Amino acid sequence: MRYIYLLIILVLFSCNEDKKQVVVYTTVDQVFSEPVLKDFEKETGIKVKAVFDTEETKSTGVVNRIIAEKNNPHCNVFWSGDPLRAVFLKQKDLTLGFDCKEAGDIDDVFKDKDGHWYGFSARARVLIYNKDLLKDEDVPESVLDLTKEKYRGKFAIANPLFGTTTFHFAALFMTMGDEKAKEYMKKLKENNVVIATSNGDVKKRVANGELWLGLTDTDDANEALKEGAHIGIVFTDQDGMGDLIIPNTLSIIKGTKNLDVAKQLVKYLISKDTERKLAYSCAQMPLHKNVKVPPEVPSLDKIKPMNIDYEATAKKLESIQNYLKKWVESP
Amino acid sequence: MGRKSLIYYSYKILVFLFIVFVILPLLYTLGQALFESGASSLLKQVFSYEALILLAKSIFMSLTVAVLSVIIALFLAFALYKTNLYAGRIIRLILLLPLFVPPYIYAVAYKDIFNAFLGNLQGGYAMIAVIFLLVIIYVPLALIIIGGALSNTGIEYEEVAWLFTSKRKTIIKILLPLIKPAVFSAFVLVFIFSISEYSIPVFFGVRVYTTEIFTQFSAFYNHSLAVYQSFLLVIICFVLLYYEHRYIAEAPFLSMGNKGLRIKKYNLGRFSFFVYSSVVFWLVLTVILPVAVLLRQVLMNTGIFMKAIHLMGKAIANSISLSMVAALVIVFMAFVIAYYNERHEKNRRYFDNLLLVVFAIPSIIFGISLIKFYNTSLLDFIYSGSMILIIAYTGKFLFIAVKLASNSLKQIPFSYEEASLMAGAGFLKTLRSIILPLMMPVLFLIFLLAFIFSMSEISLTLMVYPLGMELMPVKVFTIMANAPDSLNAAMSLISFGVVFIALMVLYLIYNKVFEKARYRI
Repeated sequence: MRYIYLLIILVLFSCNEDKKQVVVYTTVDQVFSEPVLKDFEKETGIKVKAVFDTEETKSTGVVNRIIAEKNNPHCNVFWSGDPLRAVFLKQKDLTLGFDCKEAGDIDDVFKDKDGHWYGFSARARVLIYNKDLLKDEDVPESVLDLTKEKYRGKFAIANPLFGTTTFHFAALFMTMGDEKAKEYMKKLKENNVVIATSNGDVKKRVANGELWLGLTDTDDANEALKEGAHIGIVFTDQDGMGDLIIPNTLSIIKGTKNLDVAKQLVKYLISKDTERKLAYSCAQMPLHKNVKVPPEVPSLDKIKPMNIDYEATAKKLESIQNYLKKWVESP
Repeated sequence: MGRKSLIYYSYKILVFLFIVFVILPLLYTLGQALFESGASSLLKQVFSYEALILLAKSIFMSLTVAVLSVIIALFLAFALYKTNLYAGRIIRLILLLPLFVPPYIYAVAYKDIFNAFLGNLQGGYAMIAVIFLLVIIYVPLALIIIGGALSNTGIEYEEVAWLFTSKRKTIIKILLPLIKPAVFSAFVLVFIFSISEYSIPVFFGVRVYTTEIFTQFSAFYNHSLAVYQSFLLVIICFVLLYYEHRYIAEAPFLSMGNKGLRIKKYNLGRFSFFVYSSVVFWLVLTVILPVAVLLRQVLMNTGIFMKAIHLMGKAIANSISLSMVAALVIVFMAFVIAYYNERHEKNRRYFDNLLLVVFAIPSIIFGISLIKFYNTSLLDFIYSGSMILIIAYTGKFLFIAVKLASNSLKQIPFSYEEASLMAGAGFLKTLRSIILPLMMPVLFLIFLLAFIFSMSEISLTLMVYPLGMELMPVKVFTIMANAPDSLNAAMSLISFGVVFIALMVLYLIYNKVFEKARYRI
């Protein structure tokens, strides 16, 4: 009989939800996101259980897990490296609208109008080039320059079906219009664009001299510089359509059991202090005003951004995905 | 309890548990996909011209990998198991290294080598690179199977043959036919593994059927289409297995263990140099070179090794304990199922087919099935704990385990058990004193394989690992996303090292514990 009591106690104990924990799924690289989450743990005493994404699954593993778990969500907070996944989850009715006063001084363009996601700490799409292989005068200033003959077979982009490259191309379609964008992509193929597996792969290939140029994100470019690569960075189209700015985003998953704790984590992550840490660790640009950053991190005030609506861009992506797939697969 | 009732009830319980824990989730996912709206248009996409071309491409790739793997494994197996090659036993163990490692890590290591010598791989060259890597990774699997069969061919056949013919003809006309079933089994297994593999083709940008499934799943979030496409793969694997069943039928000469038989070793004579050079060349190509590439990256940044160990410490402990539990469960289930199958043939194929279905299904689909089924408030205790991983690994790898155990049991004549029972020993005593000792080398090898596969399985682990649990492959791959090359290399080397050391320890324990029975591998 005593064993039955013990069993009941154990079952009750294991069923008793530990309210002092929060579950976060993130597509932001673990090397950058984990230290921030550990700081949150230390400062608040709230245990963080994190699920990170991998190079292999290309920022889609955690999103698929959230979708599969929709009937019984485990994730409280989704921290995405771009707004696309956040918008996608909103469209699938998997996120909760909530009020976040801490995002008050962040521009409205970096927030969802219904409060389903809030942007912070942004990256930008950049062209990186190998300084040993390309003279300054030959460095392109626009992504459109990649169709020029002199760069034939010497530049790379990551697979546009995954990650921030998807977002970039969707933004190009929004800005240029379908016809011009398709023409541009056709010319990229004719110019023998190299399709790398990821932004990290682009960075590596340019850094080791295999290629002259590549489209990647500012955090990858920054990592290359930290590793001693002799590369330069260009914020593209500053005289034209502008450069794509990609904020991190925070969403709360619908049906989350720990709403208060989830909001506490969101409040922490969206704070100026977190933006400062991400600026120092991976050169991400704060969206709050007056955040201290290292000298090599540019201010958003000095970069002309692409003028896009993130939600509309995410919807655009759905309509061009089959085209992008055919483009990738074409010879 | 008599033999029949003990094994019968054990078998029934295990089959029931397998169906409930593993098959039901798959049926649930398939059912959802089948009955959702738009199912007919999904079917059209699965059987579209483009999809079938991709499937043909995958089949071609996997056939090439399987043929090459078996040819190379045949050569290596003969050199390492049937000759007095110097340090053959140690080389055999070292050559297993590619099995320990997730294919993706091999792709990363070799990419630098390819770039250095061949430049940027595109088109047909990329496909050659993919085939090359898959061969490297799966030759050890074929080597274990073929080598085991070679170990098991008794000396009597060869000695009789030598009375009448040359050694060369003995090999061609006696030895090779004897191990033909093992060769075919190795071929089938390598084919199934390589047709289901997607991380290497994705890495090199080679489009095959599994990359299409991955794209539908990961870029389009079209789970239903991915599920449909997966079942086409399963059908192909079924067809192959059917022919394997027909071809090897009752062939008794397929095993993975040496049950104390004397093995005839051939003297290489004037071929010694050639054979030894070839074996060493393969060792350099598949083990030394990738390890050297990784070591070079690590040595460029002193102190990175300690950082990697610090990062991975907890993950290593979790992975080892979890993989051991999974391996034990797999061995136990494999033994019971194989024993029942071999002694009660009529029911054999149905459960074998179920095991094959789960084995052939891509890991990401299997993972999604497990999430959808177990992620409910009622079954959350399974989903949120280690049990989900035990279920996942058991489902995924039981097929191979049962196959190997079955093949080993074929070689134990039933008359041994009958004699024991007639002498008055009960079933349990017969099991303990006759059957298990004879099967021990195979059971140990099944344990090793299950352990290795569980430690290095990545796709399935990523989908279902419990929140907050650190596991070795997950840690390596999540940090890899933007860590310096030296850290990635250090973590990869630690992964190799951990699995290798664990295997060496297990091997030493095994040889010590079973020393008296003289069943050495």
